[in-house]
Amino acid sequence: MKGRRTSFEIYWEILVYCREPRTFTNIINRCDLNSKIGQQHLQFLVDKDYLQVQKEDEKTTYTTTGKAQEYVSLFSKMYGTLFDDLPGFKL
Amino acid sequence: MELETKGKFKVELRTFFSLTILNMVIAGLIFALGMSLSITQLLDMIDIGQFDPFSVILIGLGVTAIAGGFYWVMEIVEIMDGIDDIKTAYNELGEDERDTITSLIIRMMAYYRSNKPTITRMIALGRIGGVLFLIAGALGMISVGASIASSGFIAENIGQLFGAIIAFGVGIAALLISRYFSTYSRVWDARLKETMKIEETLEQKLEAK
Repeated sequence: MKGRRTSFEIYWEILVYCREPRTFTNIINRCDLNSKIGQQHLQFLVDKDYLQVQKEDEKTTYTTTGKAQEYVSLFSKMYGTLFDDLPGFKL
Repeated sequence: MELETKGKFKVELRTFFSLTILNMVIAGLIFALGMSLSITQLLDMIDIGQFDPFSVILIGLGVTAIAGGFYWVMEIVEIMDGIDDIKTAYNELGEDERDTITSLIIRMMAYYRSNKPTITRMIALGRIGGVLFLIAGALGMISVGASIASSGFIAENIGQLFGAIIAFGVGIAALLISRYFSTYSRVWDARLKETMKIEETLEQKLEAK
């Protein structure tokens, strides 16, 4: 991903990706994060009960909770409205 | 709702990409104009075998146009690279379109945040290039007019007049493209402001128990 994303945008990407159980490595690779920032964002979402941590054997996975769905829907709805106004011409 | 957003996103992406290509053409023409001006003046000076300060100034202008045109092309290539990535992602849209569209909007916002200074420079370069072409076209037409007035109409004037009209037209096109980019920039600035408001709402959502 080229460009700067806000934390809220990264949260949305993590939550959508973690609808199925994902490992830490899966998440930072898919969401293009470094481990430090990735860890901070995941911890934040776990603290908010938006992500559920599951540990099986030595494997830890993260899954989006039902509580996070409201955030995901609200985000998608509001970002969709950004395209209500177009530049007013097309080529 | 998603279909509407998807359609709008597609139109905007295509228009922005087309504008970038047109901008690239103008940058290439500025580069070519610089080459033509500096080489013609240099060859004339060598031909006459005399140092002419006016020719040196024109060679300097030509070299500046070459450097400006080259820099401009490099900037546009960077812009196109990012837009092309988003375009490819759009063309590969799968079944779950709502999430993918939102994901593309995020990419587009991130792209604009990162490239805003470059886009601002492109607008400025477009205006400068446009004015330069308008001046070159106007000077060319004046020169042809003066030549016709003093020596009468000769076949060579047709080519000169044609070149001057093209330069003038390119100048107008460059100014128009720059204006379109500026319109885009205003819309995107408004969107960035809107995302700040959205973030406040999302923050409240995150803080709610």
